[in-house]
Amino acid sequence: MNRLAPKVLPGFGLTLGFTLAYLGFLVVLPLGALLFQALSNNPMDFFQSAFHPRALSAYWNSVSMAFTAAIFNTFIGLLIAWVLVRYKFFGRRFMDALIDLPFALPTSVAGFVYSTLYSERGWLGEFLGQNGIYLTHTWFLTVLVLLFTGFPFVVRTVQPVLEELDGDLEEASAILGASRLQTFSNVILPSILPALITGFSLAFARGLGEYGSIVFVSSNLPYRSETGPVLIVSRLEENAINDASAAAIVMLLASFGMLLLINTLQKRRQANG
Amino acid sequence: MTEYLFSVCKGILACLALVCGALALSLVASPKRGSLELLHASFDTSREILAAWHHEINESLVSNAWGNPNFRISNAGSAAQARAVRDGLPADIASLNFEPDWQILAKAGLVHSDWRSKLPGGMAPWHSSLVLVVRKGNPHEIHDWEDLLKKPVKVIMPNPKTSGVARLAVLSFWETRRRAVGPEKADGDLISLCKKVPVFDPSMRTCTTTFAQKGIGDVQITWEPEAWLEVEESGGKLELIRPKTSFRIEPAIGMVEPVAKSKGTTLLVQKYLEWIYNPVAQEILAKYHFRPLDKNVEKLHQDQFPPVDWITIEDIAGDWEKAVEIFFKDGGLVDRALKEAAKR
Amino acid sequence: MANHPFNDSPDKATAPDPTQNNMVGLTDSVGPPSLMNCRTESPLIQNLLVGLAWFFFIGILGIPILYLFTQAFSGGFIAFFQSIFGDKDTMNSILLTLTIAPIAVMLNTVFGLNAAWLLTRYRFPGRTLILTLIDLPFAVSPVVTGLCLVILAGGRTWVGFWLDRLGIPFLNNTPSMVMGTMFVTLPIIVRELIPVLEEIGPEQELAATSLGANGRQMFFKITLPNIGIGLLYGVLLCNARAIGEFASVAVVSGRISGATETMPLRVERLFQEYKSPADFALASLLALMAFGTLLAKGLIENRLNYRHHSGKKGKVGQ
Repeated sequence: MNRLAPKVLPGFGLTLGFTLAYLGFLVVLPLGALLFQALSNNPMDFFQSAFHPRALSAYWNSVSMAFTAAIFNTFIGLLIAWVLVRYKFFGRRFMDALIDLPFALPTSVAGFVYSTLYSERGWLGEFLGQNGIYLTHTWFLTVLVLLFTGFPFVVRTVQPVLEELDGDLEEASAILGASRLQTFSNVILPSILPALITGFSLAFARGLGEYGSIVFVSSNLPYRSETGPVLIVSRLEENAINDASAAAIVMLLASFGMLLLINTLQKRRQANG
Repeated sequence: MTEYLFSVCKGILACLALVCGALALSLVASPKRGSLELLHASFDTSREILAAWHHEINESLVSNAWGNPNFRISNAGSAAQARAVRDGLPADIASLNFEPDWQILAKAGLVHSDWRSKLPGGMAPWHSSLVLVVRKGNPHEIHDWEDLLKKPVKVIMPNPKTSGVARLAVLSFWETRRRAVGPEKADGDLISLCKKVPVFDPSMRTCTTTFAQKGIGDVQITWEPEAWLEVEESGGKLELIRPKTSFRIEPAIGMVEPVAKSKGTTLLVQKYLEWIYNPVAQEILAKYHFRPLDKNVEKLHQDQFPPVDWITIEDIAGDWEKAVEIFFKDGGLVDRALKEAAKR
Repeated sequence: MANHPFNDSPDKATAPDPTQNNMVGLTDSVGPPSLMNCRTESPLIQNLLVGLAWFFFIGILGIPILYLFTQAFSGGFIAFFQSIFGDKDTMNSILLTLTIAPIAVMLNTVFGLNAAWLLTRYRFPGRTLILTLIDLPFAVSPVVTGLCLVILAGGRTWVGFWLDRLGIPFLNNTPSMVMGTMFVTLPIIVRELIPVLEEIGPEQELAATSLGANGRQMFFKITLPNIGIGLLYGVLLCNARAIGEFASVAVVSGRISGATETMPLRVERLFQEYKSPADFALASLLALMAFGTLLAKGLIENRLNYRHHSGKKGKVGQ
């Protein structure tokens, strides 16, 4: 398509106007209000609230939990994608169909079920409690819930790449005497690595902003296990709207950075593939 | 070129018309709300008592005389409710259990300066005390505030940054310790207390869930009505312990005047606020373990409400402003304690 | 996934290999045997990996879902229905969700068609900016969305001032909840449509216009039928996300029971009021809706042979 196209196909002006107005009303206006709120204060105050020790620990908690979960998600997602693409086994279609469930299920329901399941009265909580393990409100359980919300991202980004993988290279590698493990790490892995990284960043970005499930399972200790989104809500409830918006700006910048990273990765993948 | 600009404008107008139309539609299509509606925005743990009051009003002839209003409740932490009401939650009536939260409404011009004097008890038809809930048999032998400091005891309380009752619990604990060991040591004890809290839930009710249903912690700091509710609910698994001293909690219930005026419910709200002082309403209070203002009703339930050595804000800091300054500001005692507690 | 090119010979793949080491098999009939089977692992490793995959799948997904439904029906079917249909506030929350979600989805559908057409059929300065703005809601935490709306309408901005002045109920009411849901689900349909429109290309549309069709005829006769299934797919995912939206709605709703509580918010409230198994019952209703979405999605993928576009896929559910 070149720039002459608007003259050829009708609708350029109409769709441009509609799109701009919609984005302006829905995205620019609210985010602008947030910026306005944050900037209308003394910049010193802004930095003080944005980098308040409680806020700093909240960012760190968000990042560390989301990162840990995303790492595990990458392995689990790769494993499941690999099994789904390469092997035929009983229940494969069932598994393939249900992988998307975390996309369709409200995350708050996931958080609710996890928090009761691992509580003293729930199946797993009761079982683990008998063995002296108590997971409720631990860091571990939060990461576990983030596994639930995040692993389909990895499966669904890696799966199509695995399917379209060129078999010749693998055969060549085998003919040249490479073991299966060597073939995997030297031939297969490099070609699915971009997809893996994309899946990882998607799961990570999701974990950073997650609220609905975390609020059920986390212990929400300020300075200790409070995450960024939980902090923002908590600040709002404390009626400290300036602190809330300062933290929100930081979270916004972080997620914007993630977005640019993901888009660059996607572009590079498309250019390569 | 002008043709393009024209179609761009057409697109913009179409979009705005569609979005505004849809938002208006959502307003119309949302679940039907009665023509006459009273919204009571209240702190978290008042769910049951408000429901019981509204039930009584609906069942009795009172409702007819009032024009059969629809009662609705909104529950959240006290500070969160104050903010929501200030930001336009159309509540006719507000009840907040942490005194400084009323300042938010006063500053926004939502309550009159003299509103306190209109009804007895400073608009609080009830009062209550802080209590402790322990697990069956009280294995750690907890009887009073200082027992919370025992080594292995894990304490459950809501986040004093968001929950009104938690702030009052902090004040009760600190003042009791101050009377025993002096202010410096009391500060230290408060820090040790915060270190013993494994979970800071945002509000009293989520805290109760954590303690009673998820089974975390050895003792929960809560207030009387909530404690009774969970002890009864637990079927003998929990026990109620009364410390000798407690802050006197008197949550005021007041009219949000501009809202009531704009909704035309001023008279109705006045009737409502007066009604909750009548013996029937006070009896319901006692049934839900709130200490009624009505002395006669309280006498009837004497065994339920043993005397408490009440602490007031004057004992602690003189007035609320100072208390907020010392304890609850960022960088105040509670903030320092939470920071220390995080170092574990 | 519709096609699995490598697993059409399951039995052969699991057959043991007598001659060579376990890594390279020898039992395929089509090509040079050793070459075909060098693309798979020994049965032992296969079984191990499949077992491990099942372990994670069941642990992360299976047990929680099973637990949810067991708890929901722990009081029997009658209690289940009673706890949902017998509670006025719960019914209201279902109605509210069924009001908010369709409105948000409808608007995002119209927007999605507009934006996807704009972005795929024309190249113009600022196109990348629009793309970034569309992706932004994927990256922004829904909590931040809620906060933005609270600030926007909370009084200090001129929008809030005018809303207040004109007496328009926005915050703590359905419009703000619809807007939060719209924001969060905004990119889903556009992102679904862009690759479809790219792939089809503008040739048919160009032909139609050169034959004298006007914009409307071209859109309804050519474009819409071509992208119909992709659109349906996007609407489905958008709807699922809209029904389940929690954080942004929780922040702006004011949580008036029976009036501004959506289904997910109602689940939380029931949980806090010890109304078990009513909380599980409502949660399981949400889960059933999710299963419905998956079912419909599967039908689209299998029966209509709609091949989902790789690369964009992972973003879609966010």
